[in-house]
Amino acid sequence: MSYTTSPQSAPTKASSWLNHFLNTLDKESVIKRLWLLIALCVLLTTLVFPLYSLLIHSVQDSDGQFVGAANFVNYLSNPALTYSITNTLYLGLIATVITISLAFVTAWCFTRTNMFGKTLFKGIAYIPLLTPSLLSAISLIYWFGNQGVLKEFWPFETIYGLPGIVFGISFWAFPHALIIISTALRQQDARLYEASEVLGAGPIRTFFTVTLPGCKYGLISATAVVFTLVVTDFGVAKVIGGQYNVLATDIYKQVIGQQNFSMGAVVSLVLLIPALLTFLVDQWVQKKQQSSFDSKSLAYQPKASKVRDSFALVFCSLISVIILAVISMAGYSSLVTFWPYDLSLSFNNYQFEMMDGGGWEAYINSLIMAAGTMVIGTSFIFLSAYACQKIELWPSVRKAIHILSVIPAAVPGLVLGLSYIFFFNQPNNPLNIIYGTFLILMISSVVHFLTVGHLTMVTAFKQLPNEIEPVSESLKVPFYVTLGRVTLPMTFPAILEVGIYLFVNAMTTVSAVVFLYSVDTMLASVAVLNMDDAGDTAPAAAMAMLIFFSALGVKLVYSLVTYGLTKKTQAWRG
Amino acid sequence: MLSLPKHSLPLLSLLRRVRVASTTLFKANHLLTHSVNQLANHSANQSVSQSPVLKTQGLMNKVTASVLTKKKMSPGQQENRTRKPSVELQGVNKYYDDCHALKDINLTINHGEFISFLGPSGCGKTTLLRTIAGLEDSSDGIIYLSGKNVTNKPARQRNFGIVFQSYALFPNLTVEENIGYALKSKGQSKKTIKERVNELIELVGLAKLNDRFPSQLSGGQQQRVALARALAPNPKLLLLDEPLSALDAKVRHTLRSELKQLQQKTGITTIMVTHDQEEALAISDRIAVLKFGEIEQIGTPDEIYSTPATEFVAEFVGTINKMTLPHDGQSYIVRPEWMELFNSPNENRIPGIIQDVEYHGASTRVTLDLDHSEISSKPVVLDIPTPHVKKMQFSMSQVAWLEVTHLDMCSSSIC
Repeated sequence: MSYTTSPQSAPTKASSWLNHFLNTLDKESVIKRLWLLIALCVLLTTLVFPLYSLLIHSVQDSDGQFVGAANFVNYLSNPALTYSITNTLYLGLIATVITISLAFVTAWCFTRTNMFGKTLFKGIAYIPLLTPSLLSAISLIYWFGNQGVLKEFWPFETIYGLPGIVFGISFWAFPHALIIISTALRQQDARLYEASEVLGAGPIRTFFTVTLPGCKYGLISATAVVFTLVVTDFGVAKVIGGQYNVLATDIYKQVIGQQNFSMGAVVSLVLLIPALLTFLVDQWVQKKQQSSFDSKSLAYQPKASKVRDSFALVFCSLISVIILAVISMAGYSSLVTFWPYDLSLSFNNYQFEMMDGGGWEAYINSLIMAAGTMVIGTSFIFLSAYACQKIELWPSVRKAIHILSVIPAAVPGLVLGLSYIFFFNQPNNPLNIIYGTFLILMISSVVHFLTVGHLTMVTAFKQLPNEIEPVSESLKVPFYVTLGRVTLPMTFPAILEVGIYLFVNAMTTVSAVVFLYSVDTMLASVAVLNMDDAGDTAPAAAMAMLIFFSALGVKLVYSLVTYGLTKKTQAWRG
Repeated sequence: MLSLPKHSLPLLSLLRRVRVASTTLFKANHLLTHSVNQLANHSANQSVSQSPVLKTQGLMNKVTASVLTKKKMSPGQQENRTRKPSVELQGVNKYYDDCHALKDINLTINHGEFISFLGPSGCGKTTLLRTIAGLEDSSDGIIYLSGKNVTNKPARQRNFGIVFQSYALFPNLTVEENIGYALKSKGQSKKTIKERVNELIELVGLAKLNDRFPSQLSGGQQQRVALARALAPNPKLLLLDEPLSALDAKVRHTLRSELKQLQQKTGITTIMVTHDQEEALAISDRIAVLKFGEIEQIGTPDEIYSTPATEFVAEFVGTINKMTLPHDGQSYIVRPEWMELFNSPNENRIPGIIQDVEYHGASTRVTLDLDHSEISSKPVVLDIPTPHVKKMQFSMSQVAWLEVTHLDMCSSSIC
């Protein structure tokens, strides 16, 4: 063979790299590389650069001069400010313990008993997810506040302070913990219980030796998630915190109240620490967590036990009553003409035009913003998760995209919002034009809620047969054609799930947007905050209820649409 | 044709690659193609390289031609058409970090051949297949497909069809849509595609299942769809990665003969990876036995079975007995079916005690513990036709005599 001559047997490194590169310079490779680069650049611009900007500003004074650690020294030597740190941690501890305990028992009732009415209880338990966090605080005011219906029954001095915050935030974080723990409990292999029974262990022993250890990673993960939520939430503490200062409200005061952006940056960095720590804990848990479910596992079927089921029924009823009480009081108070003097019902409080706060326009804006977040976010998440999982080039870039997509879970909404002010509100930044528009609100919401969406999509891609791309290559069909014809339809349910998650969260969030809205882009959740601030508590409740009903309505329509759509398009699932 | 000094070869390869790249990027290549083609005719065996545009057209013409004329080329015809082998590997190595997965592989596969890569798990046979496909990069060496150097080319620029162990059918598309997948993306007319798909459905035996989804098919049916899909764009090479291992034994038998018939009908060069030696022996023209990333032996099934080149091959394919036969004192490899068992002694027979009698239906495997341990240190395994066993009434702990009846087949090459 004439082509077995020597030149090929010792190619120089440069020429073989060049050969390789030129050989892969076809249309598909170029598209793939651009795709990865764009995804990376978007994440850098919307996450890394703003956070870096925040860091820079924390070591500058108000005039932009570098002052090193002076701001931090200032902060730490001010007991009024550092008191917030201990307050925050204390709040985090108490609220997390309460929430996790309640969520665990509820999850146990859902997965380990044959209790009657599970579906109903489950539906009620997820109500807090559809509300802005402020709603529970407002409701609490009407139940136990100074003019509250049951104000004598409140066991503490006042609702304004730690107890109020604990109640309000536990209400709001409850479903998050419930979902995580339920999933962990549901994934336990029934055969472990059978083995335990055969070996003669009673129910209590089985609980401590099988159930608890089995869901320990779920518990740790739920604890981390709830702690972060509690510690970084801004709305509840603002409405009902009273004199109990926490880091989240401090940031708000520094930025909005005192226009001291540098100090705001400092407090943001302080708040970042617990968020980052719990994030790392959660990452560690994800690595350790191996599914105990293999193809031979059985799902757990609880045995009959009237006593156990009765207890479960009572407990879940109590939880449901509390949740319903909160939501219905918020609704009732929004309809009461003038609490507590004129208790007749009317839609007075819904006449937002009459009040400062944003009016009906704020509500419409929220819908627009949430819809935009859903569309932009779902598209970006789908494409970047696809790049991470399915494009085989540039592994280091893919890993970077994945890491950057997971980091937002560690960044509190306020911190992100502040960093966006620093980064996008600079005259010499070409992206300055989006500041003050809907776009910046949508982008910050997408980034704020990016992680869950990204992980959902990555999981969906992991469940696909991984030989689809090689088959497509062998058939000489471009990868993007296969993406549209095969991958997209197969991951459709996950895409819908991400979409609804983004919409509901964009609708109800306060912390991600409170620094970024402008006169033209006032949002409903911010309007609630402002109206409560101004003393218009009933209108605030009204707007909060409006947000709730919108989220609920969209969720219901969504469920119906997805049910119909998936039935039609997913018939092949067999 | 020009004859050029050898050291200009890398320059020419580079020029050719630049031209291909520039075609893709700028789509203006007339002058360049012409001059490079002139330069490229430097070797007796090189055909004129075609630009990607012409190549695609050539492929489409082939598909259309095969639809319209139902032309099936026999292996002989194809082989005569071109003198270059279908697949050629020279000095191919592959490293995964520290692991040397493929060690200096040299291999030539001719057109129309059915070759199996056989070996235990982890021996590199799937790695080798994927390297030929371009789904893995080789660390070293050259790979030629139909005479073209494809070493650095990604899979989509090579010409092959592949069937994976898991079939990897597109679950949300019907059988018809799966098979026509490659054709649809080439922009052919619906009628052409439908005709071709029906032709393939008939070829693999899937009539009347056009509108089913993969989840509604049995394993064997899914296998056929995967095959039809891979064959639809008329590739020059068919790669099968353990295509039958996910199926029940009975289905496997039926399907493997169908596979062979299909291959002979279409005349397509086929490489099959398998760990099932029976399968490899039954349907391959040649077998390459691999161990730890190296090819231990390539040969016809009979060569592999009767004259194994190494001890590993001898032991991996079938069962062997290593015996020092008394008539000449030499060591031999003796297969179980090359011996017979008797009730009575004579000068050619070797005595022993029956240790085990294992019923295999058509034959029975008898393990004989020999009296003379210098003939064989381990008990000898014989495969005796069951009627003979019944007639002789062999049973455990009985004395019996074995005779090596096919002495001519025993090889001593590797002992």
